[in-house]
Amino acid sequence: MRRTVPLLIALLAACGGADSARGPVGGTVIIAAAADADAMLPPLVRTSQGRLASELLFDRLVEIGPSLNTIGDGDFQPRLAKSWAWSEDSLRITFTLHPDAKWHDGRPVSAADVQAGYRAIMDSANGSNLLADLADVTGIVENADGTVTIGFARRAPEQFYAASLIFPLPAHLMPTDSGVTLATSPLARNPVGSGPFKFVQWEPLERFEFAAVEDHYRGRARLDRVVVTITPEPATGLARIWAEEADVWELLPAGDVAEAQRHPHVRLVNANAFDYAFVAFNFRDARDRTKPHPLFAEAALRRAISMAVDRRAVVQAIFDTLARPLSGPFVRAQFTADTTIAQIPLDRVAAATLLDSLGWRVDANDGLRRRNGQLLTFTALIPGSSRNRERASVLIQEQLRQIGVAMEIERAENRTFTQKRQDGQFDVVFGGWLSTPSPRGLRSTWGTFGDDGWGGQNDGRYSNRAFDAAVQQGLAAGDPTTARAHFRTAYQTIVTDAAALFLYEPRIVAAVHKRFVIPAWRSDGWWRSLAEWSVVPAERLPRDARPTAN
Amino acid sequence: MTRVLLFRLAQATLVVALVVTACFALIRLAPGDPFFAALEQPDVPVEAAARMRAQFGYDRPIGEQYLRFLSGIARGDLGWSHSRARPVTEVLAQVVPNTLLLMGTALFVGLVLGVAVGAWQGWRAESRLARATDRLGVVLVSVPEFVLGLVMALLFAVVWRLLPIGGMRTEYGPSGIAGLFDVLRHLVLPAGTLAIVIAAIVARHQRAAMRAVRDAEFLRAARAMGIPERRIVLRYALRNALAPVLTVMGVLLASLASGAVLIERIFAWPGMGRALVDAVLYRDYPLVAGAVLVTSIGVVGATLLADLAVWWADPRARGRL
Amino acid sequence: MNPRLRLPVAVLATLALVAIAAPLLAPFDPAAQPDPINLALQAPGSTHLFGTDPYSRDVLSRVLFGARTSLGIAALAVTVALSFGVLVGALAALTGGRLDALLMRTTDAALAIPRLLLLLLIVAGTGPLPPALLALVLGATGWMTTARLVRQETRRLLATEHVRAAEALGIPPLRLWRAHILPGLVPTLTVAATIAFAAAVPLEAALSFLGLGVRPPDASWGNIILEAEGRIRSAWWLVLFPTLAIVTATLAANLLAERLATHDEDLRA
Repeated sequence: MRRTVPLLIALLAACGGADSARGPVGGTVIIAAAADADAMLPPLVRTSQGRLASELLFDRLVEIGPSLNTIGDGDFQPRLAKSWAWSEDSLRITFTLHPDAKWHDGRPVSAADVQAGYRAIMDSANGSNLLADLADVTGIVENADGTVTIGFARRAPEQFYAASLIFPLPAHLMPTDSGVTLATSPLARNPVGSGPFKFVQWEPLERFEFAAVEDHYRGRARLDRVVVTITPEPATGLARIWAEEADVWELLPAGDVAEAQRHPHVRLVNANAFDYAFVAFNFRDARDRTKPHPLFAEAALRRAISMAVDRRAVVQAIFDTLARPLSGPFVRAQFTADTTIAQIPLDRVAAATLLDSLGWRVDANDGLRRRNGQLLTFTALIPGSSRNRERASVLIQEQLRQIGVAMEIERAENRTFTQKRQDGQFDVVFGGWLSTPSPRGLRSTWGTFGDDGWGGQNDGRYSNRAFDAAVQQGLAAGDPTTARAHFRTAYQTIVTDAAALFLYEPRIVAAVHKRFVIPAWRSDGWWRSLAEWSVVPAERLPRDARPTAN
Repeated sequence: MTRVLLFRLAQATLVVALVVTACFALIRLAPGDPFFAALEQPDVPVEAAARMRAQFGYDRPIGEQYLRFLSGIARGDLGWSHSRARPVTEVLAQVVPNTLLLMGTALFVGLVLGVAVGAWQGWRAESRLARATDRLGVVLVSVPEFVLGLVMALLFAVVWRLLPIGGMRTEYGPSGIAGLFDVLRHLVLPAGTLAIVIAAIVARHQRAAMRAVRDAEFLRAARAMGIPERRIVLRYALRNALAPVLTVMGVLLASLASGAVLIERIFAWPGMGRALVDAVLYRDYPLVAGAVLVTSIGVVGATLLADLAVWWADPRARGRL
Repeated sequence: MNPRLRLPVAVLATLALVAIAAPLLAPFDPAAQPDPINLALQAPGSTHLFGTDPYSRDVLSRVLFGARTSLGIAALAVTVALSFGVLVGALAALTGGRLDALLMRTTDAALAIPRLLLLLLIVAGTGPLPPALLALVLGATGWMTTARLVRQETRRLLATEHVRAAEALGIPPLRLWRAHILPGLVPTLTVAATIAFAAAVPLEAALSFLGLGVRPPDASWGNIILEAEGRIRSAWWLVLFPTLAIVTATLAANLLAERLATHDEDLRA
């Protein structure tokens, strides 16, 4: 596993990534987003809009290449780190920082900033979802020559990938006062980053705006401005796209594809995504997390409900062919994906029998089941911003009503939704994860790793030692085949446990204005290529005019 | 005269006091103590949170909290809005002008249209056209504003593509004079919808008033003197018939405020109505309370002004107050 | 009956009958989703006369059951509003003096807050409400006009010859109230009821449209329209039919109120 990347190859990689066939400079892209960014500093971000913002403002040390191969270091491209070197025992990687890399306020990026970024992730007060991913990192050393060394406790196939996840943060602007957390610091509202775009303005719930950094060390972005306007209603957002008042709407609903084709200025872009949606059962009582859930701690009940829900029908009804049903907590683009996992069968008759045997009898008056006079009912928490999950909830509600289960729907707006989910205040939650190319995310989303014994995002408190062990073994495996075998065991365990209904992975169809030249659409975050977007000069709109001295 | 004025002022003050108390009850008595809970959100600056806790009397008896709440209003401090990550007054300062623009335009256009149409309907009450438009007016009053808004949006923005679908400005659109026109273009549909609703209400009252005045004695005298019909209408009849319209100003304003909430939601107009609906959905109680407070005070104040205008303009109405 | 009253009364009676008979009239279960994949958003046709919604639910059935919900809520709200309004109005008129002034000023105060905003204020605190509570809240915010009308009419009745005579004869106030005033209030109450009803129906629709009133899968005219947002052009039936229903109910009630008021005036003159 020791490879040193010759400077020449690094240079070529840099050229290939950014400078090929440079188009003209200028243009404004207006993105209509369904929700506001929850935060703009990488350790605080938990939503995809937050990732959009933070990944435009901040650069990592290195960035995974378009092939999304997370094993080894061959497919990674330099960013704030110009080059890197492994130690003899492969337990330390030393990064040399790019000499021209600067923060948006002019200060050069230094080793102390990498340390600051690492500390921010490891500080549990910030609630970063990378905490579990960096469990193997022993520490960061700032060397006298300005390089920075990351130390690991053990070798692993995705060791380099783990290191690549750290976003350096401006050490000179980090809060030093003990009373001020990162979230309440001025930096959180006025982020100063190292990425190709710099922060201009943020009006919560309305819009935020970034501008290209003129002297960026990787070269100025082609676009002048990135504006994100928040339109929670898809109707309004799409209407803006049709009217050319906005340029990008990701996740076009299936029903609007026909409409999109009627507008000559709209282009549809297909991509895989790394997000998946699911319905997670809460294993703990929604009112008191120390107690087991009165309904869902019982495996048989979870199984019965899983047998009653026709996941394929739900997915097809919402997306037509624009999403794929899931076989487990993974997406097909991940190398550990395995669609041969045995699923809980769709069998309404068996579900009804199972419920009968548990004592839940159908009451002839309203068709709903009761046990000892108590109604079989629970509440599903859904986020206000996801139309798709809302539709899924209505479809599933009806499917469950057919077998006598009364599911209530509670729609919560995003902040409340996130808070309730984190605090475990739900019976079932219609959740979604923006997963990463690596399957390591399983640790925090469904595992019991972490300081308090829980993965930082395991809101339903699913706990199975066999699952954890299989994931751990998979991550430690030396080659992809062994890794896949272990992950298969892990996936099969969680599916058989009926910890959640794994619903769908959407295939992104985005509506984009045709005047943009898009070099590549990345499935790990379509916004990552925004620095390379450019506008065809002949098709410029008035808003693409270069701003006069601002 | 001063007695009447003082009386109406006292009345208005009582109204405002009741609204304030209702808002206070909402934000302090709702489950979870939302007013102070908002200050515990992770992104509230520590100094702001500490200051607000002190100012609004956290841990003090409820009576004292009420007084502090009142003094807070007087100071212009209404607490922290967690959904917008800013003090409530800052949010309101940003959205209220947009709503005033919308409501003001709608009121003006609606009044002018309503008075003109209603006066004509009243004067020529027997004509078929007048009766037909009267029926149309009755139907319009019965259509919910949000449906009217949806239909207008459909026709003018989607089908005929004449006007923008929503918002107040084109993103990165022109500035200066062209920018003003841009805002006006966005204003047409939402203000137009509200103006139609207002006009329908006003027209009905104006029509009734006009009919009553039309056959009045003094007008017969004017006709006998040979004064041309148009002059009679404009100078004599209308002036007398105008006052009744002003007396329904309170109802109009309340209607306008409610309508603005729905129209702003449909047309994504960044005003207080839309902020209010979002605030309710986000359970952002301080912002809800602040918005309702400001609206009610506005409606009360404007009604008071309208009443005073009536009182000043029409001596006969003075007795009725 | 006065011929001018026949039409609105007939319309309202028909709506009431339809609402009551909804389970018998509706061709489908309003919450059933027969085939969300292939039957969603179908235009009106022979099986589904009013088309289907995005979940393949039959719109006609939803409009019929929606009549039950929307009209039921409005009727309950009117009952609450009327009861409270009579109490306040009568009390004000009967006691007179300072209590009268206080009650009337309170009524004016309550009227000053735009009703939708008041409802939003309450819903912000309570969260989503079941239909019965929603009706209660609607009624609790709509008694003011009734109170005013009742007070005005009670005062007028108190000033009439025969009530004054009854008072002079020493008839106890309660009996006075029951035997002489209350019957006289009936026409006013009828007008007040129709006005309150005409206001309650669109208000409930507006709340449901904002997502704060009746929640799916229960149908209300307002929340059927909500599902049309963004698709009005392609799914116009989701807007047209509930709107016709709302307009019919509101129009009939408005018309009835107006004609009843004129009818009363004519009787008096």
